[in-house]
Amino acid sequence: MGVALKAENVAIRYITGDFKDIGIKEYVVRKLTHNYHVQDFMAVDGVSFELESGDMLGIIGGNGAGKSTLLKAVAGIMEPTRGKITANGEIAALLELGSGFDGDLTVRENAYLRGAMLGYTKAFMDQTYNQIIEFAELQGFEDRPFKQLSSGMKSRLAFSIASLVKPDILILDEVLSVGDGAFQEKSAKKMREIISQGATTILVSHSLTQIRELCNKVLWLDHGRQVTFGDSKAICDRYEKFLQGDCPAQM
Amino acid sequence: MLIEHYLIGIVIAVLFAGTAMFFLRKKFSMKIRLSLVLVILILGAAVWDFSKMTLPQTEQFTLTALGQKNEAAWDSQVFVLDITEKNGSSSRFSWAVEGNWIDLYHERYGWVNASHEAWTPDLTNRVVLQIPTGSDRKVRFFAAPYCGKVLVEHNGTSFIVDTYSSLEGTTVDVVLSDSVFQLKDIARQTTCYLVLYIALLLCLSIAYLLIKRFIVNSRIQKYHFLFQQLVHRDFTKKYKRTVLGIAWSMLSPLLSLLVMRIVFTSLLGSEIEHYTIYLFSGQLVFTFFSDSTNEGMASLLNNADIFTKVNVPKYLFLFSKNISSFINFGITLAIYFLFVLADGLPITWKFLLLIYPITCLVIFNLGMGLILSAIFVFFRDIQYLYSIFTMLLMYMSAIFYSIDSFPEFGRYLFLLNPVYLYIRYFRKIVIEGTIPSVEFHVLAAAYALLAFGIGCLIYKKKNHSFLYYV
Repeated sequence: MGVALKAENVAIRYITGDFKDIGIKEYVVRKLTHNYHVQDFMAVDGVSFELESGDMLGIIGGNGAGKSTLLKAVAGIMEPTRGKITANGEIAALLELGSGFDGDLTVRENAYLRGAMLGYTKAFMDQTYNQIIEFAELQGFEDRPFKQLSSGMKSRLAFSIASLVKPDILILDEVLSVGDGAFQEKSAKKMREIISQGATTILVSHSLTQIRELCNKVLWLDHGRQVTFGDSKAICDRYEKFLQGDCPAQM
Repeated sequence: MLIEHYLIGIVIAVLFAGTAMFFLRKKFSMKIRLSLVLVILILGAAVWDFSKMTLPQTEQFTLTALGQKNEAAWDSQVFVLDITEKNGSSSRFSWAVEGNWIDLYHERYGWVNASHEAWTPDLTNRVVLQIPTGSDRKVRFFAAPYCGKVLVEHNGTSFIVDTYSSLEGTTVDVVLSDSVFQLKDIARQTTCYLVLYIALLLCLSIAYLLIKRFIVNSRIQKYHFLFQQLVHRDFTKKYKRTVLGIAWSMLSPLLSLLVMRIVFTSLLGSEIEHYTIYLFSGQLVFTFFSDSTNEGMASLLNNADIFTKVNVPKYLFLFSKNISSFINFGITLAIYFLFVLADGLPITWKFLLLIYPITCLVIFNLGMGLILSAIFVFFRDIQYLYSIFTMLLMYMSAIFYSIDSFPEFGRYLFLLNPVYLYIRYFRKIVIEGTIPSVEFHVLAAAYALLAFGIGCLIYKKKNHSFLYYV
């Protein structure tokens, strides 16, 4: 059981200010007149943690704490401004279930497209296609244009495709809360199945019950800074107390 | 050339194609096999055309000025103008094998009788020439009141031609029989053809196997399915709600070609030979370039919701957009060849060389697309600048005019325009039938690789900055 994922003093910065939505002419003029201002915003500052194979990490924190940004860095979509993230194995990130779908294509074509984005091969998709449709309960809708589905159906399809993922490191950004009650049970069960197969998982959720139930380690972020990292029970209790206003966030 | 002559080439090519079709049926789908057959047939035709060079290129042709004349003629001189072939090209005379006739002004090659001493020091009355082999050939004799009779010996036959005419400056045309090749010549040609053809097919197969081995272990294999899906998506979306669908990509170049032809022929006159093909070459290349880069420019930004959430290589979006432009180009190219045939220009093996500018053009478009799509994410107004740039480029690519009216220095400036370079390549091969120089090839490749290199560099450096700007 080696170290599956290690983050060392990771900091990620966003740039805000003049740079966006200006054209070339504006850019040149502003640079020449020294009017070009760009501010840094540290979305994540100084986060370090280490995960072993099979660990299940839950990330908690208020809105704007930097959870999604950190996940993007782990997934390789963003590059940390400082620090290093080392991962051992294949990473599959489910940051937004609905990304990658195209409204004009049919459900079937969208399934294949999304599957391709997750790294599946054609053979694999052909084999598991019926399984996917069955899990998402979308039989009969396969040739409809995707935009005609309800949002619940879209999320179900997305989750269904993504749940076939068999990576070494799995990242889930608030994806376990889609669909109606029956589907939520089904998806939670499926996720537990995946996790029990030994993948190292990182889960972001606002539901403390979920985190308590599933995770063995917890990382608490507050406005980009790491409050604490460690065993899940103790931190979850502290977080609850913090939410109720009984104790401050700092260590 | 006679039809039996082509039959050999056709039979061999079809045999190869059939074999390929049969033996590869387990490995490849029907679509791929049909395309393969097409490629094999085209290669076969091209190599056959090339192997015609092993046949004898010239044959003997003897003219004897008889010193006889028609009763009404004043003198018995004989003058030959030229020999014309089927495709309209004509040959002049600088290949007398034996004997000596004089080369006159007015480009007539003639024999004058002994009474004109100043002209006749060492003239013989018989001259043996080498003329190009071929079919549908005509000898044109100059006819005038003072012209006499000449004996023509060719291909084992001989006949007497009377070149008298009561009017000065007319011609007498004599049709020559088609060249007849010996069995040993045809056998030599067939052997040469077989050797070349097999060698070419072998080289291509080896290249294919090598590429396959290379790709199996690389990232291209990993993202192959995704790339396929992206191409399918782009294609479906493009033609989704159109009435004509893919027929539009055939119709639009033809319509603009028609308009340009009408307008510019009346404006500039048809001083340029084969003006329709001249125009079409320019338009074909330019439309490919402009469509490819314009669509590619927006490709990265349009897929922002994908690359901000899923980790896929960003250049895939550009490449998939380029595929649909390339397919449009392919369709227009097929129509282009139909036009070339209709205009009477011969399709020779040199047309295979067109693969070179097409490849360069594809790489160049990819490079420009990479650069533009990256800049477009950072500065949205590049699209306006670029549309102006494209319009100017169109006027500076000599699409509907010729650069001959420019001074020497001005003509060199055109070489700075890569699109003009590729257009020129097309025109040189198709219209003039000549192969451009080595420097030309190097320059063409240099532009393509430069653009591609810069594009790759930008993408590599700014790979993680893109998502801050969407």
